[in-house]
Amino acid sequence: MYYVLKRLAFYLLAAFVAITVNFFIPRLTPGDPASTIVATYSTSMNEESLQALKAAYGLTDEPLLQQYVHYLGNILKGDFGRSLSQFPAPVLSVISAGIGWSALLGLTAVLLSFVIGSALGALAAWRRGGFFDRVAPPVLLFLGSFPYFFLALLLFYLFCFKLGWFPMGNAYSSVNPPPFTLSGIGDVVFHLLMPAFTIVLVSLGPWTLNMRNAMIGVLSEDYLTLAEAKGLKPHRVLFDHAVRTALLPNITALGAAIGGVLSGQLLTEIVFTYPGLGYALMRAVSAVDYPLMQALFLVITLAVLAANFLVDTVYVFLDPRVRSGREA
Amino acid sequence: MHKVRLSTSRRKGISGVLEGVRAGAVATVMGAALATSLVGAQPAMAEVPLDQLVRIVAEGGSSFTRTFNPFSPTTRWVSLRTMYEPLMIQNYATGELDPWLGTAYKWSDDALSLTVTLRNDVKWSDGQPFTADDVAYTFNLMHDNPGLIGPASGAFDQYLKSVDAVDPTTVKFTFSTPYTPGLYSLVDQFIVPQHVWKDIADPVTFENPDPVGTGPFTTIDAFGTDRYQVTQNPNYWQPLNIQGVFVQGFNGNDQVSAAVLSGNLDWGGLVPDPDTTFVPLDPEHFGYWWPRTSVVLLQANTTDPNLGDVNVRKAISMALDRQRMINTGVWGKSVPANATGLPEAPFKDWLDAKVIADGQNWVSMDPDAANKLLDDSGYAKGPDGIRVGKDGKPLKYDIIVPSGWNDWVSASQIVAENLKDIGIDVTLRTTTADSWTNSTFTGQFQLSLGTAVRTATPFEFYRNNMATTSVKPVGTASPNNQQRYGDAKVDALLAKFAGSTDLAEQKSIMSEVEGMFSAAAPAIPLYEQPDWGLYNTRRFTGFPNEQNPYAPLSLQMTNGPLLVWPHLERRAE
Amino acid sequence: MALVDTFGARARRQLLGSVPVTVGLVILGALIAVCALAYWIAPYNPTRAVGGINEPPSLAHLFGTTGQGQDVLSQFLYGGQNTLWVAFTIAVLTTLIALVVALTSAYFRGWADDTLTLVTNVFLVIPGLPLVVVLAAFLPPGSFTIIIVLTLTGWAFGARLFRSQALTLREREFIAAAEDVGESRWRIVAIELLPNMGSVVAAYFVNQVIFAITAQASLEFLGLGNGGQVTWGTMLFWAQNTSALIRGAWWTFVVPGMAIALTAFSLALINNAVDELGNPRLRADRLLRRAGIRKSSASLMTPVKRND
Repeated sequence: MYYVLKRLAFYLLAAFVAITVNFFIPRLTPGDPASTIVATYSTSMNEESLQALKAAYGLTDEPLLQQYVHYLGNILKGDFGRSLSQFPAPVLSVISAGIGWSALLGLTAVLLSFVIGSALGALAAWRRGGFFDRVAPPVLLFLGSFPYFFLALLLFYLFCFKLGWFPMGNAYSSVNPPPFTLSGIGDVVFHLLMPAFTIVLVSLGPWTLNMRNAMIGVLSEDYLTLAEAKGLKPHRVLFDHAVRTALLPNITALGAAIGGVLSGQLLTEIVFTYPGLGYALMRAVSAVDYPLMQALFLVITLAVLAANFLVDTVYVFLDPRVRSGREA
Repeated sequence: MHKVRLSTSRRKGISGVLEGVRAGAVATVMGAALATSLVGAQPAMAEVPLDQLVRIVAEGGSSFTRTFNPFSPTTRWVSLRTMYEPLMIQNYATGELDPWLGTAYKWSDDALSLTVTLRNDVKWSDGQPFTADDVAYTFNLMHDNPGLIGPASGAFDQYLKSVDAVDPTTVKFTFSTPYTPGLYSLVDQFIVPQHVWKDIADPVTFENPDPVGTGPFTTIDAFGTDRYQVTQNPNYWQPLNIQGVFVQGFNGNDQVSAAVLSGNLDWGGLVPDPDTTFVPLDPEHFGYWWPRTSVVLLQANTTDPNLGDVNVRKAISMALDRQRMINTGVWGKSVPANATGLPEAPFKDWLDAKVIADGQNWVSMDPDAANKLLDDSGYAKGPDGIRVGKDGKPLKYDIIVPSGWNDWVSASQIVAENLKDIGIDVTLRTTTADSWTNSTFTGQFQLSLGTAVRTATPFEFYRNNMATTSVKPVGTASPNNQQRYGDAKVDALLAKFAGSTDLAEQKSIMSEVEGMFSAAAPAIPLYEQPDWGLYNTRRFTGFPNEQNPYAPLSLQMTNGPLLVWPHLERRAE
Repeated sequence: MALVDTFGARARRQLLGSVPVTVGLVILGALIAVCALAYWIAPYNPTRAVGGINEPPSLAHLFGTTGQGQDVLSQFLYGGQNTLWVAFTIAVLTTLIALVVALTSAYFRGWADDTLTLVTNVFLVIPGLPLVVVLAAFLPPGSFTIIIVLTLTGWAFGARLFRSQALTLREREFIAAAEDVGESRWRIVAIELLPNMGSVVAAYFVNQVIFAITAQASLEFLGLGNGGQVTWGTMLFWAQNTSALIRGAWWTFVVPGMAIALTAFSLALINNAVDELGNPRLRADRLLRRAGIRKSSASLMTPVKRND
């Protein structure tokens, strides 16, 4: 119990620090969004316009500390303000427009990489030394060595543009989001294929190798030798015992990978015009859109922290060493 | 060794399971968000089939919000080009001021009063009649809410005293000081309906999701995260032969090119080297037209002691290989700029041939003359080949450009290379577009490319590049005169121009100003900027092009597309 | 002892005996050598326009020319210098920082550990790319900015990794024994803890080089690098800038991409070998094959073999 409380306090503190950092990071960038916008769009720089726009944008000349306090208060109220780069849309509508698609693309890609990578790794370990084991891991490693955008652009150019086998982008074909029917889902899946496939292709290497190495480690355990000596069929040894244990390091990595989903997909969203938040985040940052930036950083940070905390809590019940006060 | 690994993997095993739980937790959170947005907040709406709509490329990004407030700088593209209309439209293809909601204008003799006559057959999209009251209301709304941005922002501050509806089809603008160029800003202002906006509490933060306008397409037929379609205004005052417009967001240049080359777009976009990549794919239907209505300039920050010296600027100008910039950046589709800084086509009636002829030498490439000029002006070369300025410091500068503006990036690179040959060390730096805007607007840069806003007469160009009125101190953002050059004599001449309604007088004043530009080189003209525009006539015909230049083809001009919509027709299948 | 074991003569023989490692070392060595000799080998100045626009590979230009008329081969060579030294610098810096933080944290425990873990966690949860974009907008574009930015966003993962390794080792008896004997803390950290983490640190370092190369390329591709500098990443940026793929000038795009891929691949192969070094069971099948034993069981027995 004490341990859980200590962890909770720890995570709250980390969340608070992250929120604070998220407040200050955008304000490091030179430039003031309102001046630039007013200057661009009016034929003459009008002091009054500038002040009025600044007020509407929520940009004040208050001391930074005071602004910070207001910011904290607003977060507690759930008021994230209006986006500056999509003025006057509220930040929440910008985020809700894209978060679902980011999650769909990210989770699909990560889960597919995990499943396929682990399966290939298990296969390679099972037939270790054989043709598959000697060819597959190096080939996958090589594919994964390319910068992601490079492969993505090449595949986009080949399969979407030249051959036309896949859509050239977007999440679905109709204008309104597709209905939750079979054809609607099919449309979404069809558009998901290329973006997810490119991510999977580049990330397969490490998943496969890790699984393979872990499997080989597990397969040499004495208890497995004993099981086989006792007469257990090889494929049962493989599936019931080896894979399960060897999968665990990959599950560790899965957690980290999911955490990186939102911010890591920027390049996919650019190449395949996928309507997620990655590109919105990039645009928000380069347009110095304080409210949108802060909100997006917050969403990402809190999701990762919350998940971390949940896991640590469950950890307590499973690892007795932790309960006795020692950290693992 | 391996014993260590064993215990680690064991421990990782348990924590690994927990990591799986953690992953599940995050996944649930995201899954819930996903479900909500997929099942959709809005009911499915009737959609006009896509093949009846003109597909254009006009918006970047892919998370659109339903904001159609025309006064917001980040409103949807269609707000100003299909929904709301101005009194008159400056047609940059023909050089004429086309009547639109307004049919004619008349100056009083003292130039302190401008009267505009309006059409009497215009209705708002909700059926209400459009009258002079709406016009007066719009201007007064902007006056009362300074946060609203439009072509007439700042008018009241500078020259406008009041706007009155004399009768339902007549509007009178009363000036506080004679300023005839004000005509173009005032008639360019889009008009919003009084009966809708008078009930809005805060027009600056009003999202306007269901706009009421006078424009051709005002009905939001469907709206998604990364695309939307807008269809006909049932009460439009001109006949229309097309159903509407389909706007899709794109996140990168390659994606736009891919869509264009596949024939998935009807109007717009830029494809590199269209003569070899685009037109040959379907010569009967694919076409492009790149008229040139502004000039790309190299801006040198004149607050720098060396760049502030006209000899340095002219030497820089003579070192530049303009033709190579044109070949690399715009695939040869342009011409080097002349010494007045003005593009030929839109200002053919204003250009003074003598000024152009006399100034030709400083805008032509001659590195030897450049070197000689610098030597003669006292900028000797140091031991490393870099010239030393009057302050004893070597001439080392950065040239900044937004990454993604491919033609400018190429041109900036060439500038850097050319200047090395005359002993000036220039480094190319790419930045984000917003950072670049901020740096140039506040005058915190050394060298940068720039271009002028398109205007009806050369008045704004010279005011924005040479007049002391447009000079703001370094640190204060200004869209004009980023190089901070001011000459009071120019101010005087421009004031005379603004006070005059006699075209001949204005032309002779302008000749004098052009000569002053050529002498002082406040900015260095490079080449004429093509206005990108392409079209695909497989489905729609009627686009303006070189053979039929009735309006600009470029989608980026604010009011240009309004001139085109009534001419477009859907081909019979 | 472990240190000597890891990098001793026997190990070296085993390392070089593995085919993939040799391939990796050869590729990496070739790339580094060729780029280091750029000044003498490159036929042209990489930034000058020396040929036509987007010329395909020919005798005059082995890798063709860019959309600006520059020689791609020369750019590849000079660009490699820039890219590689930046990547190695980032890897060295992140490894050092991660080690210092982790070892301090693991050995000293208490409030030092708590604070450092908090800092590490904060850096881990701050979204990397946005931070990078903000910093890149703030600082002048170029190699030093990229180094600073990628080091700042890259050290935290290593710190966490090393910390958990060090914690494991800390509980081992030999540390307790060293403490009993009265060894000073610093000596324990340097002589006892550190060498036992050898393979993990080596693997991490190599991974960091790979990470640095690809992250650098991504940043420069997005335009956050210095467009006037020649690196493999900016070559890709320029290729995009001049719409290379759409125009069919694949060589301007493929050459830098392959360069990055080959470097990362060779490093990954080397890393794989380091893995094998730490876990002899991974080499077991090769040894079995050499011994002529055909495996027929699912589980893997570690062969007993005399090592000469």
